[in-house]
Amino acid sequence: MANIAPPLPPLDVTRAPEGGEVGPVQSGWRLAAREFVRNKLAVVGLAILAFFVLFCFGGPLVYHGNLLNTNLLGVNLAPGPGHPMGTDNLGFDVLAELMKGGQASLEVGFLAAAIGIVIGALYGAVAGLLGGIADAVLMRIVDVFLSVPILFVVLIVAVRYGASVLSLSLIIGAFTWLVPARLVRGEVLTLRVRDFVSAARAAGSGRWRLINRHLIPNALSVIIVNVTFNVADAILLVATLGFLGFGLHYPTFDWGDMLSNGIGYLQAGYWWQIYPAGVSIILVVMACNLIGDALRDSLDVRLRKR
Amino acid sequence: MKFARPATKFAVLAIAGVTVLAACGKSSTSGGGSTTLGPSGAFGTVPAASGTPHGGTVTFAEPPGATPNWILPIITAANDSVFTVLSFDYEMWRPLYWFVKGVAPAETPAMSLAEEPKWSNGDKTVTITMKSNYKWSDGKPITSQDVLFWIDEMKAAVKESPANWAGYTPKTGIPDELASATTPNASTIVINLKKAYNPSWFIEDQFSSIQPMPSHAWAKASANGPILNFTNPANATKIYNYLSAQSKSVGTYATNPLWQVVDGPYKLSSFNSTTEAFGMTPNATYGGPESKKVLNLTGVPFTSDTAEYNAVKAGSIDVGYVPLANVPQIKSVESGGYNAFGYPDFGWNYMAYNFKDTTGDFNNIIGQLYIRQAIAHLQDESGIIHAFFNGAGGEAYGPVPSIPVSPFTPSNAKTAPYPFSVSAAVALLKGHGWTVTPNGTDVCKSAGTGATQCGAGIPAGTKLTFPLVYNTSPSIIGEQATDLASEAKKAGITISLSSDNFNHMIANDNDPASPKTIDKWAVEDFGGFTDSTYPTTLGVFNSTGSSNLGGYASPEADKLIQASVTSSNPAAVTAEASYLTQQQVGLFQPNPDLVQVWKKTLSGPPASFETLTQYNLNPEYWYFTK
Repeated sequence: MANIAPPLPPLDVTRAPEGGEVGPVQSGWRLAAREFVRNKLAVVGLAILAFFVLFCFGGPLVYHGNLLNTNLLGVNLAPGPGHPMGTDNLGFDVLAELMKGGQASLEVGFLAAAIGIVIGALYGAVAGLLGGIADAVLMRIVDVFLSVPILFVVLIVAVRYGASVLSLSLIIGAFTWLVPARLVRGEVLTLRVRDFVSAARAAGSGRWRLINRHLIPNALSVIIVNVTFNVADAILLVATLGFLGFGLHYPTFDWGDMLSNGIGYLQAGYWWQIYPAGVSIILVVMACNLIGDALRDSLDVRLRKR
Repeated sequence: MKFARPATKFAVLAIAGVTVLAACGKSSTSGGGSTTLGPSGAFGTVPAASGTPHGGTVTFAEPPGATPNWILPIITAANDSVFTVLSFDYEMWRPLYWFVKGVAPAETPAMSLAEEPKWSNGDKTVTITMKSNYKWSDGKPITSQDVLFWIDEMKAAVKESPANWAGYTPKTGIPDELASATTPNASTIVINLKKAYNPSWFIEDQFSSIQPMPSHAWAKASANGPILNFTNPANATKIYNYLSAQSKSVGTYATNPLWQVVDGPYKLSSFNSTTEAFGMTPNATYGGPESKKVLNLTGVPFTSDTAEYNAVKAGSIDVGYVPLANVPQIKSVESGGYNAFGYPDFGWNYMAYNFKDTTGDFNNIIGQLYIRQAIAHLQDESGIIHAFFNGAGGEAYGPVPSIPVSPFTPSNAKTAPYPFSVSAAVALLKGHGWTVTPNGTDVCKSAGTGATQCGAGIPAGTKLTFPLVYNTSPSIIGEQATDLASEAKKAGITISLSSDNFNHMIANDNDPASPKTIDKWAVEDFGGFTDSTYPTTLGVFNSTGSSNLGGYASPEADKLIQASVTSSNPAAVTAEASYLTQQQVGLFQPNPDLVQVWKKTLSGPPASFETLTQYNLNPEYWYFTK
């Protein structure tokens, strides 16, 4: 038998604090947004991310550097006229490469995070809702997958099937759903005993409707926060792969690959082959983490300042 | 002939009689001052031995992805790398004959275990006498039985699988053409061949592959089993199975008593099966030439050229190399306390074509000479030397290039037979029925076998696209692969790039070693081959070669290779190289110099340092001067 909470007493407007006025009731999202924009680091993070999205996807529309034809007579050129950020070891324009590489990094980051979060949210919700043995089995599966080093798997897939934006997104996404699954499952375990869920059940909602209309929407704050961290993790993983030489290949570029190529010329002083890609990776990952932290603070009522 | 991974090389002008090929040179002033790169990328001289010998431990840099993974001196095709054989195995078990003298294509007789072979019976019989100064580390003499033991075990290995011995070529040389091998006394072995062979080839390619093994200690089928009569084929098989199983157990290399019985200058004292770092101590009973203070040897693995170069810059490695990307900084390395010397090794670098890959009819596409010629036209060798080698290397158009200098280089390999020209490549494709779409993908429009058609087995509508897998290290391989893909794009050839590591590539992208994966790759660039000083490509480009990676098969090539092997005419091997150059059986690439550096406090005979460029490691000659 479900416990029925006693009804709240009627609101006595005459007992409102003296000197104050009762404002209109604000939605949770609006409160969260207000909290978010008050966080200066979050705004900085958002601005950085917005800049890189514009830079990587809008930049190529106005800046047309050579990324198609190697130029063996123009390799390793220092920044100067014609090449604001110089050229790399193949004669490609570093600024254009930074834009193109950023596209791939961001695409993989967001796509992998999306894949991971969709799988993880559904998986966690199902496990949490079913409970019992099914929950235990599903969570042990998660434990098993968590024990597999993802870099190792991604390396094998990259070597065996070749690395592309899609393949990397799929394989990274296939491994990044594990943490969201755990988090959502935990959230669902607390939600499923709430009255509104019981009411929905009583009204005849099936499991899919419960998950789709009640559980996942109420676990959205957890999910959104986790997306930002997953984006950062995926971008770092792609950079690691590229750095190891198993990332994307011509005619696709990624920041990790740029970094890897540049490292070979570190002693030669070709800083323009290292710093732009390195700084970009750091800034984007940092921005994602700042946004994630701020979202967590603003979406979780317990962490709000007011 | 062994798999090699090209690293950084330089040519030296100090070798008497050497004519160095002109190549695009480049001086650099960035980071450490100007270098002494000349028009051929020639660099450095080796100082004469000096100083008072002191002992110690010399550390040697193992290049990334090329650490030793086999120890039994019968090298399998999958493990036939210069790093496993020349820089590891040869420290413990010496070959019957030692070829390459410094960087000269000649024998070093003092390092050979046997006296010069005596040929008779119209070059069908050879008598070999073992030297008396070489002994096993347990004090037993090296006898003719030990040579026979290697031969019989090699036969047992090949009987189980041709891939069990990298040097195997069916119906050529040993073991197939061996009529008999007898040991009339403990120091003499008489080998009778079924037909006459070129003595130079036989000594430099066959006998130099024989590493006598201690029959008194190894001829057993289990750790505590009795010594068996290895001349009995059934016993030989049992022994081989036991020894090869031990060789696969890399974790026991340093502790297995088998591997402690050696005739080389070193014994293995430690081996890390994870990193493949190894330690060696001098073999006190070594009978060959050596320093008065033989050093301990430590092989230090590196995960990247950058890490290795950083170790050189930090002075934390005694013997290492300078990656081509860092050639402009060679002056700063020298001022940091190192000597430097470079030269290309004998052999060639190339992208191997897979003539058996049926995916997308690639076997039929690459089987067309005009396609291979078109691809050759898309390679900018002088640009590559300038941009990627920093001028340190020479153009190379065939298996016997102009540099390193060889008396067997054919005339058509001295200048580009298919010079860099995208328009020439496009013209070849258009002239053979392809619709060329620059920056798109060409399509076969005119199927058929006519002179202006695509060729046999290429249906209309076939797209000219294929994958190319390249070794991630050193970076020059990826750079060359990317440049080719870029130039090919201009001609409408779509090359999809992917990367892999050296050991995985030679074990899997290799028809004889891994026929099951023959349809999994089309073109690969793992590096190249080191070659013997008698540079026939037997084993690589003959149709039954154990290192014929992509299954190239040509009756004409087979005939010429056979002539190189059996004819006493020295021009035969030149004719072979000429044909393979004309046929472009792989995409031959420029030959980079291998730049070796060693601390100035390390000294020894100059040849012992020069030969590092040939992947030979002879620390037994070295000593510290402080």
